[in-house]
Amino acid sequence: MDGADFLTELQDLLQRDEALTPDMPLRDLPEWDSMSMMAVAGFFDQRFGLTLNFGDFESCVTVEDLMRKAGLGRP
Amino acid sequence: MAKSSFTKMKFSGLSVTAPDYIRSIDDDLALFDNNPVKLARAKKLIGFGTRYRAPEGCTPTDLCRAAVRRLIDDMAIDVNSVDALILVTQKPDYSQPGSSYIIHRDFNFPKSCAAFDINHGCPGFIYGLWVAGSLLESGACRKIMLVAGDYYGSYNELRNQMLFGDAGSAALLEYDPQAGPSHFNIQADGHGFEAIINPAGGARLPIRADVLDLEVIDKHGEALRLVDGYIDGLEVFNFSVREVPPNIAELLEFAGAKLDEIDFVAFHQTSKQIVDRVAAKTGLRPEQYSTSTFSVYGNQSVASVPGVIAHMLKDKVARGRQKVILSGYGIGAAWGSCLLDLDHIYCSGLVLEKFDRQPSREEVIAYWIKKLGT
Repeated sequence: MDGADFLTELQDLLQRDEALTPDMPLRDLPEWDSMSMMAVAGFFDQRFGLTLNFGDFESCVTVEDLMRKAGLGRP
Repeated sequence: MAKSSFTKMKFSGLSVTAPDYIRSIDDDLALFDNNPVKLARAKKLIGFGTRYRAPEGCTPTDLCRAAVRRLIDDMAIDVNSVDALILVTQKPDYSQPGSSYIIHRDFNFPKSCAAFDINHGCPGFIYGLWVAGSLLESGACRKIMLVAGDYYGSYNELRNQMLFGDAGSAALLEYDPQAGPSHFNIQADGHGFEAIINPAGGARLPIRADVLDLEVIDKHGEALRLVDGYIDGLEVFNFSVREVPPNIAELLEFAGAKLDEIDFVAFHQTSKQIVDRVAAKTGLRPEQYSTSTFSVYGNQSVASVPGVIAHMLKDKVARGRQKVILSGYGIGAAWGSCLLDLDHIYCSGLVLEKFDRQPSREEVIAYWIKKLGT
């Protein structure tokens, strides 16, 4: 998976019509809520074998920050 | 180390009752900001569908009573032959005494039948089965009725209530030297006790006017009250996928069994999302488990493992033999699993019943005024 795949998968997880870009602040996304965090936690567990706790999410300001948690760079 | 094996516990029968009042997630659009897109996302992510909820005035003890009645009637159980009545719930009718004594009275269990409650939720059926197995194995009891039930029990419009369905269950466990082995792996971590908790209502913070309407905004920006149940969903997800798969792997190793031999794993139904992840990490094939009990009946808390057996395995366990793993996890934090055969047992299925003649709050107050007043 590269950065572009990550953006597509995240967009699908959030069930979002518009494409995501790395610079988007997560908190500005209307789809970003506690349920999305659960979905993203499941995605990270499944695809990267990583556990995300609340502090991890808090430290992510933008979509790119989340991408870097997965060890991926900008597409 | 709470790994143990029993050879004399026969699982003879199971009855499960849910209240016949259906609620669909589509009725909860308001909780999704009246946004159908958000609702559709929740259905897909969490697996929301329908759930069955007790009407006002109907308690877990009422649901359990119905399950006990069916078990006694259908299995023609002589209550005089029962040595212990164990009731597992977190919502007894009274803060004291336990609800096991109400069931003991209602069915005229004899004085020789011990009765006690176990305060437990989602992992509670496995814990209760483990206690029952110990009592049978030691010879202390020859016949045990294990009753388990819970309800969400709050009618505020918090998001949490969307997860839950209400149910009561009753199982008959008997001493039988030919029963065959059952294996348990029971675990706990008290550091997780605040992840699922009712902050008010216990001895630490009794409910008084100062907390009744006190609302706090949680870290996700959602409002909650201290008198309601709190669930840290992300913590529960992480805990479940971290602890449950190795718990089952250890159980299999301890039992000398392989995952391939297991016909079915009856997981506690937290949510479709969590059960699917736990099952995948456990290494199960799709036909070895199910999440549909959650999507049809909701998370039935302590009654959800019995609920899965009744909903998914009724005919298979009634007409044949199933090698099953029962896995409960959640509040405590506690978790545990057991491996046993369900072999030609009585199984009621998940029966819906009407509970439309429950006493109103006014009637209960009037009862106690008359009972205690002069």
